[in-house]
Amino acid sequence: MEFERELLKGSTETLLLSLLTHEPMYGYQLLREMERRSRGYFHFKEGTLYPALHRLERENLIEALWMSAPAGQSRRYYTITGQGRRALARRTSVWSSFANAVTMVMQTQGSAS
Amino acid sequence: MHSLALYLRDLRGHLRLEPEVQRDALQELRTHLEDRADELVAAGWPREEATAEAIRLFGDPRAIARQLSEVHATGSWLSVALASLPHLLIGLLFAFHLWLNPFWHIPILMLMGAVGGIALLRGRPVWAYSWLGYALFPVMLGSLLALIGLGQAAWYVLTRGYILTSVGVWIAIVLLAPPALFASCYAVLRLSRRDWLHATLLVTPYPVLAISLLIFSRGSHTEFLAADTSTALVLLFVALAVAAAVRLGRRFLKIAILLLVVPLAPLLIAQSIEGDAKLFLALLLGLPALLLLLSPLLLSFGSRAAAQRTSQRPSR
Repeated sequence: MEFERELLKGSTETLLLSLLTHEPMYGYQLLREMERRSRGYFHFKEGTLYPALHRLERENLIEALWMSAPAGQSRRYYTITGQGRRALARRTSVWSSFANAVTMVMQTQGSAS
Repeated sequence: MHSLALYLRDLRGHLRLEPEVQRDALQELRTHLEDRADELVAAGWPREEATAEAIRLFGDPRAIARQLSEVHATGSWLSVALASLPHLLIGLLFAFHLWLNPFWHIPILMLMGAVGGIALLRGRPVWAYSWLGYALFPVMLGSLLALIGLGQAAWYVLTRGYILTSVGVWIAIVLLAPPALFASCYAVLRLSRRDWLHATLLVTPYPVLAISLLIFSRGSHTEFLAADTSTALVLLFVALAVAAAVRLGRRFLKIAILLLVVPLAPLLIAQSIEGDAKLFLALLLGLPALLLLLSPLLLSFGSRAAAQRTSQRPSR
């Protein structure tokens, strides 16, 4: 459980950037979308989402704008920036290499035992 | 009070953001909690339980407030430059021995007041406190004079066994000190309400200026010139410490850097004094410097306790 939490902590910002590549979303929508796409696997204290979003905003990787949601209420929508897309491409590449390397090591260990 | 309002009030109490950012952040968190509660209500939960569950899922308000504050605590390079600039300007006045010349110090203090005042009205950025600190110094001078007078008295009693200062000076101190002290405490208390660290940034140069005035009033001409150069150097260190405090994200690092650098100032300036009194003078002023920097924290404890007592009083 602790291991999962650490893994999630390190990748939350990348996951958020990834979710924002297709359309602007507000905080709660992002959370629901993350739960839906991971089929409920990613589950964390909801409030921790906002420091991560604000950090991405401060780093100019995303932009925020108050807009009306379809139901009429005002929501703070986040959009990925060009800089954010480039950062996501780099992180995705690093993540793929890392995940491949971990899988290879694990498989080698599995076949050796 | 409604549990959501209580939760948000608790969170707001621990947030340390610029007013506009804070308003936006609280509104954003509120809509999230309301969305979650609405969804639970739509799934058949009673409203009160749905709100309590939304709050539980959201997490510890203090931890969230701390994390959000840390994200926004890192000042931009422009803020860093603007927060350091007043210390460097006053440092230059000391370096060129111009600080006693009204032709120089009056316009500079007026400039500090204007820039600090405008910044205060336009969202209170963190760098405003460096400018306001110098602009408010003449008001604070009354309280500092009282402290210096007491320090001098103690010094003469300890070293010579009698008080040298004249009766007229003592009467002036007694007349000037109470209103100046009241105005100073009131200003610092008002500014500590949102974040005591801002008030600490405001009083940061005061120990440095206090010891310079002390050396000017008691020292020889050589000591005075040497003290001016030391003060300029110390203000350069203060500018760097303030820059680091504005730029660093971690709150304890901001506090640590100010609390370490500023009490060292008397030790550095005291090097200009001739004779064996250096260490004693540095210790005599280093401790009040530390207390002065911590005074906004102590004042904010007092005002928070009073606010809590008021809010806990049962309404009739």
